[in-house]
Amino acid sequence: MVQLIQLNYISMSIVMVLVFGVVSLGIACAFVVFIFKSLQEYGIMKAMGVTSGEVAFLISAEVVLMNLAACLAGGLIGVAAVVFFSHTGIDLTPWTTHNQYFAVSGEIFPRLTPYSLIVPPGVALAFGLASAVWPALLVARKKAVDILKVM
Amino acid sequence: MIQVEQVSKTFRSGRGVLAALSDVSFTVGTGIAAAIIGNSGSGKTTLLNCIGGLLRPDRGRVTCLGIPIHDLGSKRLSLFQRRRMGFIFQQGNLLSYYTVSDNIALPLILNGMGKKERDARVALLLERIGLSGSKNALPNELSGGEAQRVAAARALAHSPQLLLADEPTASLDSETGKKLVNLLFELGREQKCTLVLSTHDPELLHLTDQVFHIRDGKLITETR
Repeated sequence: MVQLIQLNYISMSIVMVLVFGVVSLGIACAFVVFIFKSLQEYGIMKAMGVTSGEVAFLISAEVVLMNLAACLAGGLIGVAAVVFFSHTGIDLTPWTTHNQYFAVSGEIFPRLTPYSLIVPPGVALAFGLASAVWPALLVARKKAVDILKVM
Repeated sequence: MIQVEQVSKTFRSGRGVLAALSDVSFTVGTGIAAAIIGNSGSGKTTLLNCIGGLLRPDRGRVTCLGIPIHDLGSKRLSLFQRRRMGFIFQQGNLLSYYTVSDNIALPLILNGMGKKERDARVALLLERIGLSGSKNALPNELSGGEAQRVAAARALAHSPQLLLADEPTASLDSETGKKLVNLLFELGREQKCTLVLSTHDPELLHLTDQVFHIRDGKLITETR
């Protein structure tokens, strides 16, 4: 039984890593698109005397703020869902009653753990920031006149 | 004062090497309104960009307000542009996510002006450009002439000592263009700002103190 629970834990962890990875890559791509869509704005700012460092900081700050807003919204929805289902439970008996190897109850009661609350937003933030590095460096290094010419 | 000394600039592209500027030299005195006139592709924008530090010349010197622009490091150049220069581009180039008042306020924020003083300055400029009623409008809600007026107000908001305008009337009809240039000169003169504008419209020249005619990257004539 212990081995079965451990196996379930490990397989679920692998699935979670894959899910987080795919979702985080999606978030990273969205940020890259967002930054390039605003390229002209950064060019105008540079022509007005905003330094390369300030532009890079601005891009990173935008990514962090959008990430935090998304994490907060997602976290609140997730917590509300967990609180709700921790009282009502999720009935999985239609898929477990005919399985002779399934020895535990078919009803699950989700609970909040620090792991589930902190790790997904942390991974998303890390991917978001990583995705901002290349466009931020590109914008910071490019001359205003080149950015505005491209547009 | 602006001193341009033997400035040359070439661009390399798939079509070969293009000499955009060849040994251009001139001086514009403090508080003077000067025009750079020439056909499309003559090098006006390149020259203006070299004066403003947006482009570095391959050869020669550009000195603005006693500062060697061609020689400044990236950070010092940005701070110089922020504090002492204003730019107006052909298309206005307003920040599309910012309202009209936020666009005008940006150089003031960058220069550390307090909110109360900033709001008063923005309100004054909005009144001067006749757009007090559109302070919360976004750039895409403005006409071409209105957008250029906002760009002019933004460029002059922080009372720069040097204003560079790259064909500010190019996207406007002649009547709107004249009004814009009059406004620009009026505001510029009030602030004792040295103004350099590029244009291919000869009708604007009578407003300026100095005219530089440029052709194929070379200075042909200088009229005072």
